[in-house]
Amino acid sequence: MYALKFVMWCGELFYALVDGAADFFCHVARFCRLFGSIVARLPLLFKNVVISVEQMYAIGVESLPLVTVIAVFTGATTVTQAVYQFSGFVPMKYLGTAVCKTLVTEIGPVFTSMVIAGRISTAIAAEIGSMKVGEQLDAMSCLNLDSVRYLFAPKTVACVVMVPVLVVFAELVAFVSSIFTVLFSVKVTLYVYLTGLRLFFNPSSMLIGVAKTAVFGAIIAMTGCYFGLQTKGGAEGVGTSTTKAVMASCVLILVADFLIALLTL
Amino acid sequence: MDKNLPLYAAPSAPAPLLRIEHLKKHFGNQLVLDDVNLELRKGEILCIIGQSGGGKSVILKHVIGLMIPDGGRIVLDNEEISSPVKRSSDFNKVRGRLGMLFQGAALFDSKTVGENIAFPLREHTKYSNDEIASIVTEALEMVGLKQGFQHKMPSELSGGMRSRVGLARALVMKPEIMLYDEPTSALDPIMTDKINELILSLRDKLAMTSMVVTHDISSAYRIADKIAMIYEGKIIFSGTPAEIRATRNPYIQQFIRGQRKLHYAVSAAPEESVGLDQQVDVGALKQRLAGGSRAFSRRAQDQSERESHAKLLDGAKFSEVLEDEIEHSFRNQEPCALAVCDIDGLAALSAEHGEAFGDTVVREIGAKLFNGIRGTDFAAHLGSDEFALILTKTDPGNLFKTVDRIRERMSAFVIRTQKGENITATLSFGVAMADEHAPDAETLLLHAREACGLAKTNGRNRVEVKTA
Repeated sequence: MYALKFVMWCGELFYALVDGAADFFCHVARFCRLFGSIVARLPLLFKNVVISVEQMYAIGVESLPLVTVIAVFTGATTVTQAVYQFSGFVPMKYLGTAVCKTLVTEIGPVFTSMVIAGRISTAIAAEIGSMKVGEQLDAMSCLNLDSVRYLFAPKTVACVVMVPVLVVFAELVAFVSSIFTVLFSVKVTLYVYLTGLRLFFNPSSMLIGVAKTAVFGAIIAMTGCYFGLQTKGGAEGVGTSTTKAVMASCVLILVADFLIALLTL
Repeated sequence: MDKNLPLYAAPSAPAPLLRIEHLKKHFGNQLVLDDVNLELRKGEILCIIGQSGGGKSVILKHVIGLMIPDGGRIVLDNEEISSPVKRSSDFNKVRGRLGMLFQGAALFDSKTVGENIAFPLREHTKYSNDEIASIVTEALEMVGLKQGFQHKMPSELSGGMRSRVGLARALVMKPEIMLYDEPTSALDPIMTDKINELILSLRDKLAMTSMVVTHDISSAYRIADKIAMIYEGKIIFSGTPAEIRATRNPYIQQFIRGQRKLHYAVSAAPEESVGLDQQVDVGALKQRLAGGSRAFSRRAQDQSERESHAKLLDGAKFSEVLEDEIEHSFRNQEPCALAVCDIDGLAALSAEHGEAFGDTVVREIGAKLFNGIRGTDFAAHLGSDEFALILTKTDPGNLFKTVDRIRERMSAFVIRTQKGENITATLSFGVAMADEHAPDAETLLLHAREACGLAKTNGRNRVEVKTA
């Protein structure tokens, strides 16, 4: 009897795993298809540059206040934590080096991208989801207007362009913030800190750090578009889509960061 | 061969502009459309009615190419535009000939009214900005919106205005066929009337062909040249508004009268009941009725009541139906009359020819009465020799004539005795109208019975109308 139950349980587990795997690969295939269709429409964007510029403004300029606040505290926290960890073990002349490496390679790009994902991918998912629920996407199709060309591709391009810009801006703000933190709350002279900053600074690592945020930008826009398109039902469906979009974009940013780190070793 | 399609086309009849043939659609395991066949001629307005979730909008989405059918095909001007083997991208060529007004208008929230209307023009035409602005103004005027609306955002508009802007957006591309998805749902009666007026004016001014999905039956009566009713994925009726009013199909009558319960009896023989709506599967409907709610007609639940006599409502059901009809008549300001009739001299007939013959007379007269009324009327057997007819939408001026015609027909009805004699049984009728003097079933029945008593006193085989 127990053996039979065990076999049944194993069967159900196997079925659930296969079902889940099929569902996962189905999502991956659709996501890739969306990516392909966006890439195919890129040449057409030059005919509607205004739409892309509007999206860049909405995604880039309107995100500045949030990014600034986050960057200020990121810089300050990095310095404070580094001082705490270094105390008694590492000479303080390396403080600037540690902060620079951390901000330029990981904290700056990844943290800023995840914060932008929280704002932008949810906004895109909510917008596309509301349009889907309100039949606006169907209305576009009825008017022979390609939603990929007029909605998804401009948003993706805007994110790919603006996320690196925001990251560079955030890193600058974080450095300034870290300098003020050093000046007012840490017993390290400005000269020592700035010397440390320059000590092992490698422009290529900064370039890689900024370049990978273009990939993060594409991930942010596409997860928003994809989960917006998957919206079903009413307001509740839109809420579910936005949650899924932000979760997926954060996970994919970390996965992409790991893969890029492996490739650039 | 499909029985829904005509065997031949009359030489004078124009060829259909749009044909939907054997359309099928599943959502998962659920069959949403099951062998839907419809035709739309140029300049015609076809209304598709049915309950919410019945698949009406799904038909429109197939016509406009938003959905690919699982079976069947859609033909526009003898060219197949949609079928399971056609890709949605193939549809782009013909989509310009079709326009659609969505439920809620589906305006682009981030754009102003003017930008909404201009969007398709900017992308598909080479008009200059000035020309586009003038087309937008013209389109807004056509739908009854004055200048100044171009700069408003969709969120600033009322439901009716949004519908108009949605219509203007669809019209700027000059479609041949306009599809409307619930254009008047959630609108007040005045705005509903304006939208209906607009649909009619587009047909008159632009000879536009329209397919309207609605569950607003009064709007359908107002605008439709043809009405099709969908039920459980099938088209169960297709005909003119007059034909749908006259149909005896119980479900259709329940729907068009907005009744909570299904009071109408189902006739034993399909050909008696179906009449104009030949597509109805009466057997299936009866089975559904028999297995369904207790509110359904008793006759449909009981096989033994397949006899004609059993088509009459019984006393309890009669009271319920009469109450409903009186309420309906007051609500819609439509006349409702009650005629009560007694068989003259039934006791003497029974005494002379036996009780069994008396029962036969009652049964035969009941059947004759039932078969003689319109699909929208009701007949009831109140007990022994007394019957009642609920006459809906009967002009009060013609009430006497109408009932007298029934009386005359009944007096010519011959019943043969076991001995082979031919007997004619006459009826005395008393009629009363539901009005402020008879606002409920009890009073109306009392008035009709008083009039019937008067008819008997005044010499039998006659009609008396109760006057206030």
